[in-house]
Amino acid sequence: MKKWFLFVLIPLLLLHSCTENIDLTIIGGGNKVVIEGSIENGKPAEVIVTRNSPVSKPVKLNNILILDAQVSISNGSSTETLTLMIDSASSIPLVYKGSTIIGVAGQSYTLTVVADGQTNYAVTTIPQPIALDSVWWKADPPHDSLGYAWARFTDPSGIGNAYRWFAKRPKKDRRYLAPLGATFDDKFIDGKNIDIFNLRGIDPTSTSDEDKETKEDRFYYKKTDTIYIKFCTIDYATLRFYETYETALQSNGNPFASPTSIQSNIKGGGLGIWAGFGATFDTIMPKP
Amino acid sequence: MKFISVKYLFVCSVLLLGVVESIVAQEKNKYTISGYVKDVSNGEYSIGSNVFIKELKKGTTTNQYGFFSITAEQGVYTVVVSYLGYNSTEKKITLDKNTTLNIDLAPTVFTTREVEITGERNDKNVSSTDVGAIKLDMAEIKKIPAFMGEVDVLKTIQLLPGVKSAGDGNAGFYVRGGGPDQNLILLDEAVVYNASHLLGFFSVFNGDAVKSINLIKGGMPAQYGGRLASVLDITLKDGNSKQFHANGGIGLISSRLTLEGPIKKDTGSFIISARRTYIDAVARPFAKAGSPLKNGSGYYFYDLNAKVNYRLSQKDRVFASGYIGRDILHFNDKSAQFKINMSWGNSTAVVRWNHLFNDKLFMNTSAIFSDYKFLLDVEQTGFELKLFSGIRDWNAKVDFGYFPTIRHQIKFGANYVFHTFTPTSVSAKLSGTDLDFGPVKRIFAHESAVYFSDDFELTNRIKIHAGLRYSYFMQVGPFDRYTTDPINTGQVVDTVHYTANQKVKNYGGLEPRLNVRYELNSKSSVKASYTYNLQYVHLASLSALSLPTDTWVPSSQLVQPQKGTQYSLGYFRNFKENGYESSVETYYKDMRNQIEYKEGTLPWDDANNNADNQFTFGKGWAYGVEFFLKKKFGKFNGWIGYTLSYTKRQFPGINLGKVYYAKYDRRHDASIVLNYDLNKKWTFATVWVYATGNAITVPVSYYFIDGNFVTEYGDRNAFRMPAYHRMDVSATYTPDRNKIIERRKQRMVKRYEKKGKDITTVAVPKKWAKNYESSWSFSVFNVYNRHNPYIVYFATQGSLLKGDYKIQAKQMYLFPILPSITWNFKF
Repeated sequence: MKKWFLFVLIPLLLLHSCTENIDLTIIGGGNKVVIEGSIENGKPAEVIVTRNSPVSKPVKLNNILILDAQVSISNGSSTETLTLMIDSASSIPLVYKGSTIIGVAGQSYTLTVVADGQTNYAVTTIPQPIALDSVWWKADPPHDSLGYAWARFTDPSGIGNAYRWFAKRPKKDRRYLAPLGATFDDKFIDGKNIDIFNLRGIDPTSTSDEDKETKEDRFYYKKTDTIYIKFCTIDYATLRFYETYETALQSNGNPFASPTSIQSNIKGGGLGIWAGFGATFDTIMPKP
Repeated sequence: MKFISVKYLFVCSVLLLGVVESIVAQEKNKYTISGYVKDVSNGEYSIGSNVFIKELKKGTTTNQYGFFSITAEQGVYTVVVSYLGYNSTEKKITLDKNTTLNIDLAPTVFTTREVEITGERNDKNVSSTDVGAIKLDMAEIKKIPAFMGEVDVLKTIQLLPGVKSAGDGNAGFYVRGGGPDQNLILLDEAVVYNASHLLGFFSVFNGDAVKSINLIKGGMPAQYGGRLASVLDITLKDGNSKQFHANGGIGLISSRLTLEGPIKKDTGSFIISARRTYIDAVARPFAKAGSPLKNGSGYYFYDLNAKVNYRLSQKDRVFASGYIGRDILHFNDKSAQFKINMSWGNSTAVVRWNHLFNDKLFMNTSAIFSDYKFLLDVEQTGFELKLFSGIRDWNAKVDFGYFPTIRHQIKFGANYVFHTFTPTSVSAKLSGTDLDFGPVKRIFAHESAVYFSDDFELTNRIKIHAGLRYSYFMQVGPFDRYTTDPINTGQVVDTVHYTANQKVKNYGGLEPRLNVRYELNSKSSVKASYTYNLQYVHLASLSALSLPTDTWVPSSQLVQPQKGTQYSLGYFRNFKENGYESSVETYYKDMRNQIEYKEGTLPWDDANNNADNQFTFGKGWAYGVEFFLKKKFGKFNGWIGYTLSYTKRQFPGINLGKVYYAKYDRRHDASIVLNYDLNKKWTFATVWVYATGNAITVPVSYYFIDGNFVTEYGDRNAFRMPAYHRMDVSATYTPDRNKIIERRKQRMVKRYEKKGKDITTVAVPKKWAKNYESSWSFSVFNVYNRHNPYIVYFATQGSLLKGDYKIQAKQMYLFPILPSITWNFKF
């Protein structure tokens, strides 16, 4: 009967599984141009051009920036070369920007980027924008001052609409941020009038205390927050890019996730996305 | 195509040759000896016993029901029946009429005795036409160190050359470069679609209920089909037909109990065997208040096997057997308002009828039901998801064994299966609104086959197994075929509806099989085999691990049947009066119409769509050489196996069309199993295994998108996990029964004395005293505490601003050194 303690000890041992760092020598990688560009209805194009970095070395910002790219867009009838500008409201503050070609819903745009001796191009379309019916903040019980940003909207009937949600708190966020789960399509909600909610997007480069990983409530909006919402329609290639991008982000550091390769619409060997956004805007006002 | 037709022609002519020869041979003055071979101690029929006629130096083996039949010319013969672990029996008979000879074999009481009748030891390794076939007995398996004390059939076969484990926490096994779905796993003839519990830590086969295990990894006989790589044929015990017995075991995480006994002595018997784990129940009292474990979270699995058999007459026997097993997982985290209920498992039911038309013609007819289902229910704030997938078969088959002369063993039969597939079907609610996942999609299909095979001696040196199988598969309605627009929306743009029983798509084909043995001398032989197989059902997996969520899908308009061709060549040699068996086998395998998910497929892409729209197709090939040395008898016994192999795949839609290694490609795979029977009380065993690490796809670069770093994956399966190796040891202590009985008697005496009763009347119950046995198994898993990788994954760390942002490879390992103890009993 003295052996009873073993009956307890061993299962507890079993429940305890372990992780540890290992050395895996990985060769190759690098030498690809990375494009993150978008064009929105009523705005000129914005394109960030960087290069990828092999996993065998730590990343240095200076090594990934490409400041001498030739970036141009075309709407079929005219072409514009974009100029490198400083923009503090961008994820990387060095952005190639246009000025003459302004995004129009229903139009397609071709992007051409010549950098590091490689030519990449991509085509995107700005779909017709779809406005939200209403927006509001709602507490997430048991909290009463922390909650999510909610919206009601009606998906037009006929499958094939896809969306990406962005939001920004004035003075707190330097740009519109898309939280995880911000990208979705109408595969399961075709023609429905539906309520959706979104977490607060976190700026990965933010230095604010609120955004620290140790903050368990960082994905909530506060009752007192003003929330600007940018709700965009996107085309299928953009949907696939952001869906696989979000899946890849979630699988970082998750042992059970299967490797997801991000589906790019860039042709010519490059990585990234050239996205068209059909944007509409709303505001959630703070509650007392 | 022409090449294949030549092979059909060849196999057909070999078959014809055999049949003609057998008819001619029958005309002479011949008689038949037939009967059953049984274990005298419990009445269990013995599968694969050697029945040998000394004077003719020829013999046969008993079939799956213990039956044998030998036809020979009139004369006086010595029939020797032998089986590993049993005393051989010799019978002198005068064959001048058809004779029934039922043999009862007695188990060797103490297996360390070296004095078995030499010369008649089983030389099946050399003499049979079996190529790449291995038979294991439970007695052998039970000696091997068991993980957490649970004797496991699947874990044991993974110690054989050519059979590879997928690593800790994966029950799927890989045979000669084939995928886990290419193994036909049969439990009393019923297909088991998922043979694992608890993400593969344990298999669904309860060792106490299993009688024998037959693994065929090459040269698959024609009675089996529908899978490319292997057959694992597991037969359950029939139950003791002599007397009632109970046996069981109490282990650290699970307990087992088996009851068996006669329904009518020597005529019918039953067995019922159950097993359940109780990690959850044991751990719960130690959990913190408010923790998920206290809130009803937990995991357990159970298995229940039951079987009855009854002999209706000398010529008729019926069997009914069933299995049900479930894994159940609850997770309830009240603080995160997160709840998961998950369950999965198999159920099978089989009814069989054995009939002996005459002493040369044996028939078995079976009706079989087989079902696998997976259920998931998730609830989180504002979101509810239910998921269901499964496969269900109704199967009828008839098999004949015909034994016209001593040189021939003919088998023929037919098989029909009605499949119902439920690829993942989902229903979900988002903040109260039902999401539209379409109606539950079921797919229906008929699969059937007929076969004929002959195992015959062409000359004294050349023995041939030739078989031909024709299989046919038809998917029928109701069914909706969706056509999607892959460029603009990825969504369904066209639907074609098929009504009930309307043909959607059909496939069929001939599958020739040929094994040839050339006996060099009484101790060695060379064997070659050719097999061609078709497979109509496929397992599709998005994950790098084999999970219970993986779904079975049928061949369809898009999914062609998998086609496998295997060539193997082996040299077999026995040493020291068949006390040692050895073999070297090489194989080359070509696999067509292999299936993978397209790159970038997301888990929800299957919903509102046909699963096969997400598939991409390619080919695979594998080759290797296997070495095996086994010492069968003596105090010191065991085996050594080593495999050198290559497994490659090529898909136009994956890895830019470049050739890549399959994830279960293993350059080296070795195992050593040693048993040492010290004395009647103590036996020791050890296992050591080594395997090259799994091939994995790793990130080769990272890039910056929307303020985050994301990774770019390199070539498919271009890197290796660290190698897997491990050593286990075990010791079994069987106390002296007489001492235990004496101790019990002493305890009873004390009790009697306390109560003031007359101590001279103290007697241990007779039955108990006669049959009671117990043993203690001590085992240590992973003796040198190797951290074998379960999963290798990557996490980023550091910050871009500081310039130390980098990626770190991490591994998760499951089992450190793990001691366990199990108490087994029998009365």
